[in-house]
Amino acid sequence: MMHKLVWILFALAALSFESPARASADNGGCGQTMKIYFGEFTNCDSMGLISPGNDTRINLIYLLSDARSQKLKMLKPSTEPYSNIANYWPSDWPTFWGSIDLGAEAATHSSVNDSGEGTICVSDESGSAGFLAAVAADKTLSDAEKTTLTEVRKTLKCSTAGGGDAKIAVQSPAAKEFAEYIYAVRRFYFVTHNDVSGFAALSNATQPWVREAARYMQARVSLLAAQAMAFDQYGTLQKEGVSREMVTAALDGLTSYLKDYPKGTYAASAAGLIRRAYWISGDTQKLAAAYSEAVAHSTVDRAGFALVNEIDIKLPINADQNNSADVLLLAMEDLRMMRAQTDSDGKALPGMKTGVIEAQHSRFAGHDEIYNYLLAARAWFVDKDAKKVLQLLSEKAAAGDTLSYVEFSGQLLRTSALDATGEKTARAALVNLFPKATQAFQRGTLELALVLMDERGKNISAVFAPDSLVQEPLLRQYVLDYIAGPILLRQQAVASNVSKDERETALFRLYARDLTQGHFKGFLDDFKLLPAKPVQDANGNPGDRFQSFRWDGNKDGYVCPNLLEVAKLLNADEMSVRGRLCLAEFIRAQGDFSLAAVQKDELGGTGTLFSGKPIFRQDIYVDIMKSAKASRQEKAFALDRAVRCYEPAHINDCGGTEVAESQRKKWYNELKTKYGDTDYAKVLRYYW
Amino acid sequence: MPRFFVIIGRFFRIALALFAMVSNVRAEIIRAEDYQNFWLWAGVLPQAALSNANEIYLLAGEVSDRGKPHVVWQRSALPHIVGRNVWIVYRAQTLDWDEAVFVNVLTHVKNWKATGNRLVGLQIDFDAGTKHLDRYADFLSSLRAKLPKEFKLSVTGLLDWSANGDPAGLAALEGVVDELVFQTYQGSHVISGYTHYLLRLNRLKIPFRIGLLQGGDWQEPPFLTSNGYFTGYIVFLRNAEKLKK
Repeated sequence: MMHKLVWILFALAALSFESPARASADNGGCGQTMKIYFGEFTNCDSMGLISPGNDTRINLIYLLSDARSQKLKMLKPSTEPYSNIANYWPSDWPTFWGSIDLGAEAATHSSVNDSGEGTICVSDESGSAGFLAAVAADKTLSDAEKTTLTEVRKTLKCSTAGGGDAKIAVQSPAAKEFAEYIYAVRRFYFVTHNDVSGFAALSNATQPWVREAARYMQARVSLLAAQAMAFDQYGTLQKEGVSREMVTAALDGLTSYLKDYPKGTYAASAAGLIRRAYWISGDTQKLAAAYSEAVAHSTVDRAGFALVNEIDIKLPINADQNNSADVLLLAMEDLRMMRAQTDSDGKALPGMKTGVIEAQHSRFAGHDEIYNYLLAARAWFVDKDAKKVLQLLSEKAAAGDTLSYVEFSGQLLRTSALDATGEKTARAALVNLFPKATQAFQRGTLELALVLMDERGKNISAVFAPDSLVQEPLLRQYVLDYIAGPILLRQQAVASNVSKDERETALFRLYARDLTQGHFKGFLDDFKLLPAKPVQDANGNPGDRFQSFRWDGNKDGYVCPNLLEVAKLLNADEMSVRGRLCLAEFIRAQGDFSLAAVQKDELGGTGTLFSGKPIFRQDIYVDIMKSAKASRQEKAFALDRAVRCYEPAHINDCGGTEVAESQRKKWYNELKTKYGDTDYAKVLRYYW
Repeated sequence: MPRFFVIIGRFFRIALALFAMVSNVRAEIIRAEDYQNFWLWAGVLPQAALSNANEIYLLAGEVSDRGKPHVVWQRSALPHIVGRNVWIVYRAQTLDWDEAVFVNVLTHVKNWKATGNRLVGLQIDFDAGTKHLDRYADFLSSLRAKLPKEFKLSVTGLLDWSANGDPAGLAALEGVVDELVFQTYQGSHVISGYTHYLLRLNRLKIPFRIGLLQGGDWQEPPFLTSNGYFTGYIVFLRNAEKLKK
């Protein structure tokens, strides 16, 4: 039983892929669902409001920045191909972390590659800097001693085992202590990091820098020694192997260091090591208290982000609920508990129980805004009770020129609740939020909310109005691809007040839909807008966005003219056999321009405004193979291509329904028996 | 960690509820005991199946782009794995590796070998967008040049490379990487577009493996085992409480 408990604690700790506690570790690159509210955690859909669907770490950062009255700024989006900086929605934790402007990096982190973050070498650089400064400042050292000690320390390199082990020839008491310190460091880096003796011997050193550093190092090494026997063959820490005595010794050393050096050089590190000591010994109570303490004093800076990340990795879930937990941790945990969960068979688990947050009311004393928002979030995400949301949240004009995340989230929820209850004022309320939504990711979230509202309100052209509030290129292009009808597409294809990219997106989608949804007359008109083929350099740059539509037809096989001519054939007669077979050849060569399916509650979920049933290749073949207007060759061709729709994976690659294998076999047989003299029949060996 | 959710992304979500219906192969739940190659990631506890493994892909570190690109170690101690092949894996959040990062990674590669592990090679786990394969190939070429010849180079890849990747970019990977690993994920939802992409792997001329998630579902497409470049599966191990019963 004990073993199982350790197992669970350990499993929840460490960098886990999918901690039940909180968000998961980095998930790297996922596609987002185009909507605002996520009651479940997908790890791809963190947004600019405080939400159960966010990574818990992101929620915590939002709450922390509110609590410190800090304003979260985004880094400027980069045009680098692999840039991790998000534009509009944070999506996941690593993207979020990489997108927030945390100011210039401190100089000490400049050559962090040598330091081996996560290895014992992490302190080499700063340790060296401290040592050198202390030597330079010590007036009892002779110049020669200073030179000797400086040289020795500079050549000592943890990550490359540099520096040798020669004895250091110095005389004065302080210099000897510095020298003993170097010997201890050498032993630590190159021989063993489990032996405290070298540092313990210096814990009463006269030289003040050496004394402080030795005391810290003694405690640090005790902690390392405590886990020396705890690693398995895979290099994984197994907590059963941790030595309790050594952890206690380490904790004693760390707390006494902090008592004597509350603002000491290693104070922050010591505090972190104390947390680690609690973690490796499985002391959840103390760990939770330590994290609460740390959060209460943290701001949103690099250290703050690192702390939030550490909490996610190390703090077991229920720890946030114990009474000493900081109010922000409690709020973060409440949001996590609001998530819609399913069991391992995919069945929905019951949602967060009623009354849970109300029972915590006293713990939110002095934080009424957060408490109120949690109640509203629960009403919205769990109970789907728009009326309750409106009761809890009134319209509030925020003071100042920014919205805190709690304010922003509450007001956004409120406008959506107005919308859900059919209030006509909803859109105006949403528009009203724009001017003050200036913190990171708020604007992007609002724009998506507005587009969704206009989509459902049959007002999608508002997105492209001159004074449109929706300016995110990605969002505008999404609307053009998924929703816009021919009029809107034509409008944007020639609009002068938008980017070239947007014009080209509109024109591309116009051509694609004209052809695949039977607007052949439209295509002939629209084709006049086809830009000239760009002049390309040796690398093929710039690419030709409209390359597909410059299709030149087939010179052999089933002979087809170029695309324009094909469109003319179909415009004259949409049932033209040659026209349809050549359209199919065009699609076979250039792709079907299909878009990914979208869910009903997502942007694009109400379908496209572009009329016309989609034309699928399979349907063309199925019709022509028995059409009186088709020649023998054409029928054979249609049969052959129909069979090949399922090559090689037995899955229809031609669009439309999946017909049964028996039907495919029938086509195959018909081709081989009735059209055995054709080349198609002779070449085709299989059906799939 | 490997990008298991990539194919659920909006550009890759093809409604394939039909697939389960029309395919003759039943979906199987991926059990570690049925496989021989595994990823062991940070925070994942070792499992019994590792004892009989053929190859173990062990996460060593991450090249982080928070601030100046630097290495973050992800494993608490050096492994000492006996009797099984080992790959050292680095998760890359950026390809902007300066000399110090290369030195750091390559030092660890050599250390792992020196400690006695049967090190087959180095694997890079990186989200390379389909549009920029040529840049990825450049990076991998320089990595290959620095990596001692005795070690192989494996990289994780997006499923849609073979479908939508620039053929020149893909071709550039030939001769540089020894193995591509395509990661798929099928959870309790039948959300999969992978078969449509897997079938285009027929065009690929690089040895490849398919990455699976322990406890997930998998339906082996019929054409996979007849593809000479397919060299098997790797299963991403997960901690016990995550797995289906």
